[in-house]
Amino acid sequence: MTDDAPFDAPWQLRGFALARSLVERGVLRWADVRVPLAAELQAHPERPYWESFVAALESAVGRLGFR
Amino acid sequence: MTAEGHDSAPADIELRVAALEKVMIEAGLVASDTIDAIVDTYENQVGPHLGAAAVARAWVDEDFRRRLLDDATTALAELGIGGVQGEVVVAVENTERVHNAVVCTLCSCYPWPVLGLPPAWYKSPPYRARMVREPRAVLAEMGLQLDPDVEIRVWDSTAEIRYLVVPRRPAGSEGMEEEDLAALVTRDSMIGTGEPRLPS
Repeated sequence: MTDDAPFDAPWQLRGFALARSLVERGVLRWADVRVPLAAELQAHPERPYWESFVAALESAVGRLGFR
Repeated sequence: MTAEGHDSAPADIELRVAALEKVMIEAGLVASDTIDAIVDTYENQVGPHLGAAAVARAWVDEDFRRRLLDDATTALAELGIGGVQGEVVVAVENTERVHNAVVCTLCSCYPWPVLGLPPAWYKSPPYRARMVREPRAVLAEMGLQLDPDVEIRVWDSTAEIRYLVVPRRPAGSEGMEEEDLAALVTRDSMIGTGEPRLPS
């Protein structure tokens, strides 16, 4: 538990910012991302956090009828 | 999180993020500028320095301290620290008898407006699982040895409520200016996994 950086590649912050933008614009509620994120983290505890975050965002966007 | 974790096909996931962005922009649901602005916010503007300023203010201004503990979202707004709609910040204060620490057992909820984005360890399965079960051991491993008499309260963040720990003002900091006090307040002391720096 010593890894201190919030993110270690630009795509991670970009993905987070995309999610925040969609919430800001009222396209998604944060819960729409948070609920699948918790499920992804639980299903794949060994997967790096930001990969689960992107998977959660994909599923939130998928539920809007895209992709 | 281990270094090995970062080996997995980064190009592929970069493309997935870019594809998501493209779909949303083409649908007219978000603009590239909006995303750029949020990237800039989290990269350059919000971070633990904001929480540190609020804690230092609470240390020197008793009225502000009461307002912060009573309704942190409103008190933080006085300092120009803005929450995101629907997300409430709750400040919990350490005392001689009680030490507070914050976790998000389900995912990674964190008081973004005051601390920025959480460090990798905060989002790691061991921290999320163990902090509730055996906080004293976890804190000791992170270098924070608490007296056995001190009660540890662990606050589980949710999508709606984000906790900020107000650490105890360190001994020897009497008479220091607010700005210098803020420099003593570490990020970890506001998560509850560390203590403020001691005055030099």
